[in-house]
Amino acid sequence: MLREPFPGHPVSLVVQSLVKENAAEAVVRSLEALDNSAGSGKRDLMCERLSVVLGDASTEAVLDDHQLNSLRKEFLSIDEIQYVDLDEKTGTAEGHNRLANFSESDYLVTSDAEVIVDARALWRLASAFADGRVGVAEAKRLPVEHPKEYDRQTGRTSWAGMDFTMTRRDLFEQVGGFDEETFDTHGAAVDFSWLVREAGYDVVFHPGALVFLDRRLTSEGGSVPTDGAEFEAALSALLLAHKWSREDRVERGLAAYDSSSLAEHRRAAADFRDRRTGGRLVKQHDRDNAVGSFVDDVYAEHRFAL
Amino acid sequence: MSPHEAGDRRPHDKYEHALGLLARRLSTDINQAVHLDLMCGSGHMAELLSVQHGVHYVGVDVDGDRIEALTARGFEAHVADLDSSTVAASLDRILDGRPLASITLVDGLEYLGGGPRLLDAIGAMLARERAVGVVSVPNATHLDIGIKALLGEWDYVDPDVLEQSPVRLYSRPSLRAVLRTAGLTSIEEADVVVAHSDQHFPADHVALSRASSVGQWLRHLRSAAEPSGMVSHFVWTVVPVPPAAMAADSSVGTPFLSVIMRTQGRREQELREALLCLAGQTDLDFEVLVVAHRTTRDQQTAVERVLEDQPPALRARTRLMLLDHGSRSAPLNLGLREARGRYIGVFDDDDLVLGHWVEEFHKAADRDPGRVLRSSTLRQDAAVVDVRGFPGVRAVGAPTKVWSTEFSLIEHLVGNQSPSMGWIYPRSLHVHMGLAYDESMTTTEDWDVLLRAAELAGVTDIDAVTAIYHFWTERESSATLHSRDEWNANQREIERRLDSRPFLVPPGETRALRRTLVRMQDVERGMCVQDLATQQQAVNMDVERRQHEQERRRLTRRLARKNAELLTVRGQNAEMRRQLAGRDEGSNPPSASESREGQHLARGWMRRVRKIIQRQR
Repeated sequence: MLREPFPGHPVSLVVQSLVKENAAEAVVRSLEALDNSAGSGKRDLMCERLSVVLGDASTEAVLDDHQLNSLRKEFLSIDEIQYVDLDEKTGTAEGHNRLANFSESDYLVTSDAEVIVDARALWRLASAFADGRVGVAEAKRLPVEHPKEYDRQTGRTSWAGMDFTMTRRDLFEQVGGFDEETFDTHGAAVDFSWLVREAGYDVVFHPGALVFLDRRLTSEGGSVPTDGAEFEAALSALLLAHKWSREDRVERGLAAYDSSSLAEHRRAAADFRDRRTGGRLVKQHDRDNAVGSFVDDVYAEHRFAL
Repeated sequence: MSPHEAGDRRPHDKYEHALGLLARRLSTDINQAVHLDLMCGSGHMAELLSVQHGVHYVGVDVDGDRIEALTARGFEAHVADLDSSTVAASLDRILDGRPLASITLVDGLEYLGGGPRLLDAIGAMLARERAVGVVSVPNATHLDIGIKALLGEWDYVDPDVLEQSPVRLYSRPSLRAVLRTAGLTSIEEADVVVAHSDQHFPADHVALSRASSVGQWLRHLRSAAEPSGMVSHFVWTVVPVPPAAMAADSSVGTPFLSVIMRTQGRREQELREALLCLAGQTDLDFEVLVVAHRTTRDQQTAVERVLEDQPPALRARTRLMLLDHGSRSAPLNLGLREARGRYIGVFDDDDLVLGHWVEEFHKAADRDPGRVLRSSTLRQDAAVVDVRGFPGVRAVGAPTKVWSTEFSLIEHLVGNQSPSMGWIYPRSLHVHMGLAYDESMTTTEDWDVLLRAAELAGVTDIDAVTAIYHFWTERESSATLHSRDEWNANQREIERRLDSRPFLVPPGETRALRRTLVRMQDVERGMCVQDLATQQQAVNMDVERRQHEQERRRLTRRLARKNAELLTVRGQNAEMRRQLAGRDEGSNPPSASESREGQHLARGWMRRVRKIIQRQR
């Protein structure tokens, strides 16, 4: 039988999610799993306090007050459920920064609103912080695992996503949270991870900490692409390359997008040039390219293509 | 043999069987206790019961003439309507406070519309008197009757039967149910087995024949589904038990899917992953039967802990069962027996399913009820790593398509293309067709079941990837735990079974089969042509070799002859030189013509010799 890792002391944490046109049923199921996890952590004296902050950026509120009150009565292991109304245009980076202000816990977990968390995931992630070098710990996503490489002993990796990732609050504040000026959704997590690493901390992936996030695969095993994200993906690629001092990739990217058949790509290249000529690009980091990792079109070595 | 003769062959077997059962149950200390023979007719067993077992025989029947005849033989007998609502009181009156040893009801229940009432009365009497009963009822589902009914045939072989038609027909399950409702259960069975019943005519009826393909297939189908195909009469010893209501419609309130998950408790983290995939399903109309197989105490505790960790919604629909014996198939059969869902799915503890796994199956079942449902499964290589001292599963390759997207039964005869969590099947195949996992098989048990299920139910393909099969690269799995020989032996067993009976091929598959056969024939023909060419080439070479050999021999012989001639010529030359030398010394030198003739001769021979040598080369 496996011996559960212990965080060292009972921890307080907040799990924050952005709700954007999600099905209410899916959000409730996610809360049920969190409540179960909180109960498990409290029984085993690993959890001091667990609160949830949901930021709703949908056109109409996904959960109404009546539902929220019912959920607060039902999920008693969650110490607090806050529901914050956000503007529809709020991006992921800005949204999480705003939600972080609604709590003061030791650790902050950015989570997808529909994630189903395994009861032990939070506490296994928290235990990784017993190593003082760890600044960010990311859970493993099922059933489609992300292909980015990580160290088989330490879990160290290039960056962590936002599906279910725990961060030390002091470090979150130290690096200024997500760069919402530069990034909307794409690129924000990579940039944040590199800021953490630049500050001298490790970003680690914990395959023993599990969450389920419903993702589909094509018949050949590829990931099902999301629509309408070409502009933001292209722009964030240029902005990341600029911010992390890879002018070579900026120029290569601009050339590629200029000649792309997709109008969104050409628009992204134009947008970047506007920012550059208007002096609206952020200060550059990592002049000696010690932190940022640009491998082909991705930001870490990948174990396999997906 | 006429139908009547066939029907009259063994009329008394049921009585012999009933007497045999009674003989094993009746106490030796009967002391003239009463035996009630209900629906006694002519009292077939009266003498034997009285003489051999010492009971006081009492016959009861509605037919006054027969009762009179029985009385005339010296036995107590009563006329009574056993179909009446007051049958219990009538029987009490007949017994009149005397001790009861036993009751028989041989061939009568089927004629009573109020049969259950009589059974109620029998149950109450047996319970009160601590007596034993034997009930015999004709089996309305004998294979011969069933096959003919299937083909729209219904023959009465006994003219009397038209006047005395049965009003209730019984199968094994329905008899068991009606007995149980009356507070009776069978404790011993001595059924009358008749391979060829009175319905087995004409003798060359194709569907009834054991030798015909359809006959064999129907017999195979029936024997797998239910064991009473050859039983003409059920003859059971019954004793009282608490009454239980007959099962209502079993589909009410049952989940869509029963997920059977085998675990040995050795892969706690993998089990956690598998269950988390179930917790994340978009359609929750399922139950989970986790069968912990041959686990140690620690392993069982580990499994229990993982189950306790599940969210309430999943925990509420999960049952843990422990099994300490059997092969890999045994936990599947346990799950199958315990399952309540309309469909059965097998999802082992070290694989993954996507969030719409149940949903896709459910939608397909609504479209195509009663069929095997199959979606796509991808293979992903995986390993277990210890990150920060804690085990985790690490994907080491991309999810990859290695199995056919479209199901073909013919293709599956050659090899399994369907990992177990990629398909589900109606539980009806188990309940009504007797489908179960073969516990003698140590591997490929799922393939065996898939073939049988697909043959009977057909397969509906679902155009969606819903599962990931983990191929473990650095640790044991069923692929590595069993030797290649073992896998092969199990495959051969599957093939042997397939070959032992007719096989039902679904629509469209013969076209695929034809296409494959034509392709193979083409290949073989191509190979034939190639073979012929090769053979022809070999023949040609052989002929050529023989011709060369013959020519060589001929030339060798000729060379030998010429050599001999040359030697002769040389001898002649030498002789000539000697003669010339003699002439030089004392004779005349050769004339010019003689000299030219000799040189010409020598040159001629030399030319011939050179030519021969060239030919030889």
